[in-house]
Amino acid sequence: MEPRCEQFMNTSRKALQDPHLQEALRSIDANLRTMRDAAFQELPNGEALRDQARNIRDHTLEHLDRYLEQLEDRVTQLGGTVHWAEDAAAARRIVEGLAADRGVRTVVKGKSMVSEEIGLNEGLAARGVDVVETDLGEYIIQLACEPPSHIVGPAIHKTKDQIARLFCEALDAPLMKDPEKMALFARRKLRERFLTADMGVTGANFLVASSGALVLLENEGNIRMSTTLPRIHVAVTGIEKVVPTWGDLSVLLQLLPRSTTGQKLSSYVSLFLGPRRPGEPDGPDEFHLVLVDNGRSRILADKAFRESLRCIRCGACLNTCPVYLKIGGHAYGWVYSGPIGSVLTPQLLRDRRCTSTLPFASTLCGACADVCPVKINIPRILAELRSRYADDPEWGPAPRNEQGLFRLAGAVLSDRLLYEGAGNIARVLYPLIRNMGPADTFPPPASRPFRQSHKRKSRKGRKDAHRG
Amino acid sequence: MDDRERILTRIRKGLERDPGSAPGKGMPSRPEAKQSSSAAAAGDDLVTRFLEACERESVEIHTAADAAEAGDRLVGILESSRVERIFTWIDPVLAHREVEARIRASHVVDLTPRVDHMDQDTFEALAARADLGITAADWALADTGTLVLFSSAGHSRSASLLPPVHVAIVPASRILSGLEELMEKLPSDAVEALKRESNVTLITGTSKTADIELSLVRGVHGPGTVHVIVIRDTDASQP
Repeated sequence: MEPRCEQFMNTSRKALQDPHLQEALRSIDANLRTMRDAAFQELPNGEALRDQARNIRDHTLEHLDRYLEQLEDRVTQLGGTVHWAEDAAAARRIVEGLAADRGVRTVVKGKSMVSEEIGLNEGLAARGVDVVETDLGEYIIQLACEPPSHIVGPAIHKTKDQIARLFCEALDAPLMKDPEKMALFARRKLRERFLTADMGVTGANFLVASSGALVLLENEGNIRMSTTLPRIHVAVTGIEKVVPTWGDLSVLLQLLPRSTTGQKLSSYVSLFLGPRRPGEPDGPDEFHLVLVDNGRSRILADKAFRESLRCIRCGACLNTCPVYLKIGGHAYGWVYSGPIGSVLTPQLLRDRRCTSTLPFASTLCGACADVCPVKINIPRILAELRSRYADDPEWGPAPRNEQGLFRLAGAVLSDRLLYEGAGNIARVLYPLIRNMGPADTFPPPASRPFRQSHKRKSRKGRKDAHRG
Repeated sequence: MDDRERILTRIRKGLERDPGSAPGKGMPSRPEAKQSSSAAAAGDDLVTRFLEACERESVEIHTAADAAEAGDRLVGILESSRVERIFTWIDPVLAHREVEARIRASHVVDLTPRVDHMDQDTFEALAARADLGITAADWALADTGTLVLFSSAGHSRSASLLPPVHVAIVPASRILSGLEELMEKLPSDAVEALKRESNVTLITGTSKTADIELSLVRGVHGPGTVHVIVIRDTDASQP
């Protein structure tokens, strides 16, 4: 997917004026955020679990090479095949090659952010493979030809009327009013696809190094379908998803669904240990795991940024962010949105257009860090990205005039005489410049400097006190 | 150098390891993580806790004193759901003569193939035609009301997935407290895993979605109705 971060200001302004989107975002605030908070209030050891989860993720990242090798060894022993992809193009080549070699015509897909990141659907489609997204939200946005607007609820920005019209136009469905009818219509449509697909493609929530297990969480059952009915299962995932042992997994399993939807456990947690064994009546004959780097090892190498890779993609930071809750996911211009999107996108893409906008799309209020199940210090990373953008030529130097302006501002703000002088000049010039920019850009300066009015007030106060 | 080598080399360099160093034999050591214990008070009855958790997940709960009663409950579900075709696991709990006799007497059509090898497409098409799937949980978790199903010969993934209704029989002796206890029952390494199941599914409640305006719809892909029948006193074998 081509990044469109440079249009952040435009798209976010449009988002603010979209009444449907604003309604949907209010609903995220009222539902997902509240349910997450309630789930953690019921969890007496929630804070300890979050510390434990952070330690597990950090430990794994500090020994990532060893755990990846262990994982590869175990998956291979179980009869699966591990593929390594340095970048998006390599990952696409691997999956496209598997499909071509096996004469795959249709693919059913479970929701995977990495597959969005590497543009897998477009790649497969270009080779004549029919790819069907099967998570209901993903199915909807695939019909609408839109990218996901939320890590967990990809179609969360659409109203039911919009979806009903979409089903009419794209699927010849009757016009439906009820979400239940629409969901069951999609169930029937997708059931046919599941039963006839040649290959199932999923992401991964976790990979357990000690046993070689792939772990996937879901509520709908579409991932179970995609991994049971087709003969080939391909899981495409980032190299950072590994955890050492089952015990580590149980810590993270207690946190992920609670952070995502406030559930104690998702409807389905599936553990996959290689292709089906002889005698098992169903399940895939082949299992392939594609480990995608695509910029992650570079993030790992930067100590200031390494903790970004702790992320388990729960979406809690989106649901609590005052900025996301006003502008929605599309404004962020790429696959990952919200606070974690502002952290990951500039790092994964190393695109100056993203570094110049996304790290600044935050009030640094810290609400995201408060809810993060693995305690990523998102505000610190955003501030670090801002300073890299300003100072580090590798990250994109700020325009010269902006640097000059800030130097000037620094000089004025740190010198009392200059500061007071500038205030006086502003008071004189204000009537002349107030109509120059768009409305509200220049608030009027106070008629009297703060220092003066403060002195006056405190003098008056003292007099009053004497009288009293 | 291929992608694998390039990625691993970059990781090692990023972690400031000696780039030439061969990977060590043992895995990195770390302090033993203290597992947080289950939230429930000690002495709580596992069966009660399991049933309460199931109810919170909108799972229909039934209890039976023994296999004969479980068979009665099962037939009750078949009748009240007006089921015509079933698809089941081939399992000692379900093959108990008291259970089997009652299913046979209920006149539902059992689509389960009883042959060793069957073409997978045919097998799945049969499961997809059934109105109701029956399994016997390998384990269950009291904390969350979770059914744990291991795949194996006779234990298909389809039975708990394709039919719109799923009934799981749960011998009380198989109810564990929570996730940590379950993790100890899983294969500790690949050598062990290879001798065992290729798939473990944890089922908590029904298939559901909230992807349209966050309104809850059950049964979007998997079963929209789930029943559990707990056999309180059972001589059913441990899995």
